[in-house]
Amino acid sequence: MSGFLLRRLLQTVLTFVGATFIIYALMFSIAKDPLQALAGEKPLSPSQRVQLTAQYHLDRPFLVQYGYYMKGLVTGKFGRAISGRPIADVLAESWPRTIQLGLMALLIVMLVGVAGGVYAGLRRGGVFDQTSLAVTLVIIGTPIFVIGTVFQSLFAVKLGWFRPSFAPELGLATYVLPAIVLGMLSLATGMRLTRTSVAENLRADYVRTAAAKGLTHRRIVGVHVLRNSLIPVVTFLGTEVGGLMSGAMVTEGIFNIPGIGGRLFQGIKLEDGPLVVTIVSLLILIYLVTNLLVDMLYAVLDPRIRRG
Amino acid sequence: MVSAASQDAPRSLAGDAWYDLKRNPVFWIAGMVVLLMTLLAAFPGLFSSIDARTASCALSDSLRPPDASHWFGYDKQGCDVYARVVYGARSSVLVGVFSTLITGLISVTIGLLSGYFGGWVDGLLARAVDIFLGIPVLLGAVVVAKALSGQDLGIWPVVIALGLLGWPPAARVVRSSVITARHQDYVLAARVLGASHLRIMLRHILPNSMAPTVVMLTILLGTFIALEATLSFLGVGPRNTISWGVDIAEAQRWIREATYPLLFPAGFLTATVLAFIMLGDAVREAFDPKLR
Repeated sequence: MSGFLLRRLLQTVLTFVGATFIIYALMFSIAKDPLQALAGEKPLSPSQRVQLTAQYHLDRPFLVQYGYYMKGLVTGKFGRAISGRPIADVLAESWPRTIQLGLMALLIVMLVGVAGGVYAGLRRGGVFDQTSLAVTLVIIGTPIFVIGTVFQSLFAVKLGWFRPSFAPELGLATYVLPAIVLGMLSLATGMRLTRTSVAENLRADYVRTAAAKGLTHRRIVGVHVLRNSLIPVVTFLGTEVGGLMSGAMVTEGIFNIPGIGGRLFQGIKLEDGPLVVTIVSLLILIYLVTNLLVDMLYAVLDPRIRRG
Repeated sequence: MVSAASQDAPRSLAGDAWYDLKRNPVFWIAGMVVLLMTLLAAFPGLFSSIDARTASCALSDSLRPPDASHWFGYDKQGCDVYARVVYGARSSVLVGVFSTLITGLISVTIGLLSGYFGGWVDGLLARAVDIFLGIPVLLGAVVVAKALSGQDLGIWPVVIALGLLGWPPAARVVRSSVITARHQDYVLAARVLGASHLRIMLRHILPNSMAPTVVMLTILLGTFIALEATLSFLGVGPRNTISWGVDIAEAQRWIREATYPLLFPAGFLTATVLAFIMLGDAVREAFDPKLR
């Protein structure tokens, strides 16, 4: 187990260094003027130029620049956004909102997606199964920003069931509609995955053996089938954290939620390069760490992995 | 042309697949939508008497609901939504096709090399795949498109961003199908006959591992169209072009007053993305002997 862990940890570090290097290189090397890439089309004052050059060490060789940037990322010194605010402050006040939204979305995915998938898988070919297959396919084919804007105009503006934009005075209730939008894609893929997994496990040899030993259907499904079919689902939920983060950028943008995703959305609109690069790098880090955790969880759940 | 005798004759895998596809309504519907969108992209003038690129929009028409001559109504600027939807297809389809070409080229090269040679080549390329998989496509594309946004390069920043970041899943598919093909007897026969590595790869392995690759790329094309619209929605999409994503973003600001300018481009976009995904799915099912 520890060998597996060490190998996986090294891989994650390598991937993180590689991925952030690519992002950094793309940001600063393909643009004609890296300062202008940071600030977009807005004219830069000489003092801003000096400040940005110093912040990103743009007068040093490229690899040194990248080294400083990594050092800043790891030690939490993110520098300032174009707006002048320290990026660390912006992030500190935004995280809680994104975490609340993301957890609520994950909860919806688990409650509706996994439960629905188990039900559909147990009754394969039934009405619910057929309908959910069609509906989830449409959801998978619909970009999240379309789901977001259509839901916002339908459920919030037309029907008035929800507020169309962030209302902190409502507490957690303000996240319900955005969380549904954010969770929609994972819900659809998760439901299909759970369904297939349950349906396949129902036909497995061990189910026949259990039935031959005289176990009740309830026990076979509840203990044997569910336990085995939910292993890939757990992994899926973990890897979806990455998808949820890209989704949060769009969802929080649409519903005006000032979380990490909303800040990134605004950073893009306002052409705030430092904010965008920092948030993207941090999101990559979180994505890789969750993938690592999921792999470890997978190894705990399924002994074949860690021995293999 | 199909006689009773030829129907009884054994069919090849591709023949089998085509036999199944012909009977699959999903394949025909998805195929028709793809064809329609391609026509819209190539000849928008055939579908709309108004050229959305040059048409003058009257603010007095702002957000007017649909009527008999303007089926989709007007947007905030008073432009005909139908014309804009028709002319918006081009940027989506072009971005989809070009990014898929780049992705296809990279993923086939990498998948072929790592699947065929295995060993340290495979190990090295697997690390590269890991690194690129570590970058969520949308986030990476935002950075690339943003860095290039200073210059007026049309659709190319988006094409480059999606093409450069979207290939890892496809490369994995190519690699695994190359590995299955590598151990077949005809490959061994070719090697015994003295064929070079390049010839074996290009003439024997590639054609035999093409089906899953093409399926994957078809589905990716749909995903790229969705991503292009998302990037336009975020404000880093192709510049100075009519695009569904831009129109949806613009319409979203006025949804309290009118929903038509939002729903029509959104519907076209979803139909296109869905058509490519379903087309890919239908072909995959037809080629999968396990589902027979």
